[in-house]
Amino acid sequence: MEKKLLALIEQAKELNVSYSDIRFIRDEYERIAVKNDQVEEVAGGESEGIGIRVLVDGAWGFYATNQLDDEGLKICLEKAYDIARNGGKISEVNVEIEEIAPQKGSYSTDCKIDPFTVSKDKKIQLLLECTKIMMKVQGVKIAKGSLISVKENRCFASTDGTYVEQNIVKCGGGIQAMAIRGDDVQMRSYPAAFDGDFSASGWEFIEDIDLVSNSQKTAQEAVALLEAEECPHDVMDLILGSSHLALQIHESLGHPAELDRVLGHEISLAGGSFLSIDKVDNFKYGSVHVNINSDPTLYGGMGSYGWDDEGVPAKRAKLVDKGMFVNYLSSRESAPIINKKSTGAMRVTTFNRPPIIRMTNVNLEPGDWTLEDLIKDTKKGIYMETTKSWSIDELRLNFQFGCQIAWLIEDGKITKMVKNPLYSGTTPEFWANCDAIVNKDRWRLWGIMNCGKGEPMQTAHVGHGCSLARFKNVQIGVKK
Amino acid sequence: MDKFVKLAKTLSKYALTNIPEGYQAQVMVTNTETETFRFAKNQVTQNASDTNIYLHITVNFEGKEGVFGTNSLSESSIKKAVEKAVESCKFSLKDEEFAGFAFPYELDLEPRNFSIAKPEQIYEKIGIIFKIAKKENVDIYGSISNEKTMLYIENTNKLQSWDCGDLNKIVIISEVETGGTGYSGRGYVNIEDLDVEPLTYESIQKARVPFIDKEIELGDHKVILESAAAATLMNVLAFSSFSAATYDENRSFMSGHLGEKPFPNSVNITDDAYHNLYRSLRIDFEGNRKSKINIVESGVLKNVVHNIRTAKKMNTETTGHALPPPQKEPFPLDVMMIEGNSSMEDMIKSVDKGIYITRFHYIGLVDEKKTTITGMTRNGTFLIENGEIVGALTDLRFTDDITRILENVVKVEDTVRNIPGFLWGANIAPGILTGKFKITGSKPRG
Repeated sequence: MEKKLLALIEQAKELNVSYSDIRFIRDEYERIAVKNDQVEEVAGGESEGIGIRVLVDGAWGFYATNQLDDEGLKICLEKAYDIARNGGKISEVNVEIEEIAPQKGSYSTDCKIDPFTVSKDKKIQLLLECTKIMMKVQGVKIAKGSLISVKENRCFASTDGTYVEQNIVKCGGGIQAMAIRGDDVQMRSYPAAFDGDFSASGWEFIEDIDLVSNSQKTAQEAVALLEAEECPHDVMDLILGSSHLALQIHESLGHPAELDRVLGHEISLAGGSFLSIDKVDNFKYGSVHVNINSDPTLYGGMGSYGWDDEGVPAKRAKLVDKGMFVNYLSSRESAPIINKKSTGAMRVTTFNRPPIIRMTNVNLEPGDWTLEDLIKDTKKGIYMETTKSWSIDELRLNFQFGCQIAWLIEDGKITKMVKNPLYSGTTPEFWANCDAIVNKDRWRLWGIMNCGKGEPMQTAHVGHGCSLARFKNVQIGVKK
Repeated sequence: MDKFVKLAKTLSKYALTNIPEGYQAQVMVTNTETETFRFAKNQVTQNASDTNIYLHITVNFEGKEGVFGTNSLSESSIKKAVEKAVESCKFSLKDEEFAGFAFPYELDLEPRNFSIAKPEQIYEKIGIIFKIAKKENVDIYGSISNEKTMLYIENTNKLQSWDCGDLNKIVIISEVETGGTGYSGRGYVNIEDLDVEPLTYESIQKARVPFIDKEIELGDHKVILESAAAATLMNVLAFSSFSAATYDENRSFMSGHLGEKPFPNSVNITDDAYHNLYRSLRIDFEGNRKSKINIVESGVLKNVVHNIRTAKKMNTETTGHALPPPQKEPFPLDVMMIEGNSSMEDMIKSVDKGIYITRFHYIGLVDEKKTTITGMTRNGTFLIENGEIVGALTDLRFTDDITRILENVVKVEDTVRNIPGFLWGANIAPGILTGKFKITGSKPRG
């Protein structure tokens, strides 16, 4: 593939492009899902193709194809070039990008057991064992489980003189129990909502999350929720469990810190950002306890890689430092606009999509509390776990999240389970009220498979590391 | 289309000749061509165009299913894909609800032959928008996108079925110095007929409505939902309530209530792949022809949609609403609300005090069965007093049951619009006036 890509780069140079990058992506996936005692899905797929991006007279052109013969590639380059040339005629802004040193090398996931080498039968039996345990719990109507494995081979060449190759393996899964009584539908998921938790590593990750041992508790909690009282509507202290806090970080810091959103490139679909460019080094995003970084170099991160999709080497970047907002997730085009260097956050999901700014692994650094001490220290509060619903406005300010389960805390003790918990708030106020973060013993890097952004939609894999955190005076339930 | 069908038949032959004896199989070939041009502040910020041909093979042996997909289309690659699907099938368990693949029928669709818009045609439209933005001194953001899909289905029952459709849309957001924003958007059929000038001015007009400094009380309000907002409600119901699978599993608000009349006469919801506001695929992903289904008729809950699987389970006929494999649940991709008989002007005039909502942002489904959703308003939220729009409001949060919103519909607009949505398929609705819509918060300004 190296020869093919470098030859295409030479052809692009002959067209007098000011920049071009070309990526070949081959990906493979497998999804196995069971529902109750039935196998619901044993499916897989693969795709491969090439995406060519060119910069001509200050305008971008992008075209992609799965026709990889010489004729197909020639047409692909010509179409990308034509699109750019025509675009230059109406655009008033000349795009310029940050120069970077040529990159050479390769990157591979540290994977002990390739999940594709584990038999489908073993995977099915594992999931059926989980659903069997869950269905035995009286009151459970639907029990589900799924496992997903992904493999990506990415080759990238650019007119900078860069050629890099990356081989990434990812896998993960989860289980879910649903208890239904009349109109009351209660659900518990393990280890996280949606399809579970994911990691850029091997089958050893599936073994670590131990779905079987957690099946009974998951089912029992779903049934117990049918009997639980409704969550009160009140203002109180909120402790967020780690898997849901990951989503809170994702929605209220990850997305608003994407510099393309800030510059208006996403306004027509996903929206803008309240973190306008005057706020860098000049805006108190949260309390002094809040330290957030982007780190695509973490072991196991779903947002980990060697280079981003415009050849920038992966590196850790501080986004929030002791509560101050200090940087964005950025690209070679956007970073110079704010006089900074790219943080290496341009990513594509498949060969036929252009790179856009994405989250990497965006993490909340641990504090020094134990969970036990945090609960003891909470007079009137609520502890919520596992995402159920989420909604946030287009600038990422006003949010409302729902969780699957919660427990009331009274005078330093967990007193009772409540159902249908919701909370709402305004982003900077909410994070300014973060007064305690649990220590590294409970810090965990979560993997998310379904971060949607862009037009056409790109569903990216991202990571969020966090432990648990407490937020003071939060509106619980719907304000009346 | 003819060239694609010829290719698809060849690819299907590669696949089906490798199916082992005794297996049933379905081959699905898709050819998608897409182009998306996005712009912000008079600059084309991104374009993405591609062509991709993909083959999906589904095999079934005595109720055990395996699925594999590939876009490597050589004979040997397809043979490998079949082997992988067969391997998956061997490890699967018997699915008692498997109801077989579709049988041949006379495909009497009017042939379609159209091409995706050329980049220069799209740039010409964007150029007009940029000129208006400059003249009116506003910032304009948006996108124009086209997606053409050709679909071919063949199976071991000797069914051969094909069609093509497209989904073309434009979104324009204007922003003025006060921070006011306005939205306009449409789905369209032919780029030649797309008149961007009125759409651009529609968004500018909304953005220019001055903000009014009035606190909106939390709780119920009379609300006019413009087509875009109303269409979003239809999309959520399509997901949560209108499929036979959610109905059968008691996850739908309609479960056990067919024939009941929870809504006023003016609420009519249908699934119609043949509507003239767009070119939907007229066959489903099992190869069956889509039927037009009345889901809610004069406020009465009438039907849910089926694929072969749910139809067999519920002892009825498929309505042609299968999704691509390995999805097992049917889905109404062409849900739309039917127009009523009130003009938008009359609807606004009839409101003494209320809120006008252009569109929603980031709807979260809080309770699937109860159809409880939460979300924010966006790009044009206005206060109505004494029958007139008197000012723009900051974006509002709402949390309510869609069924409650529809139960309280007072008027339905006499015009439907095709609105750009997230899903592949229809997003068609008129504006509606509802007597009850629960506001639960607001976004701070600035």
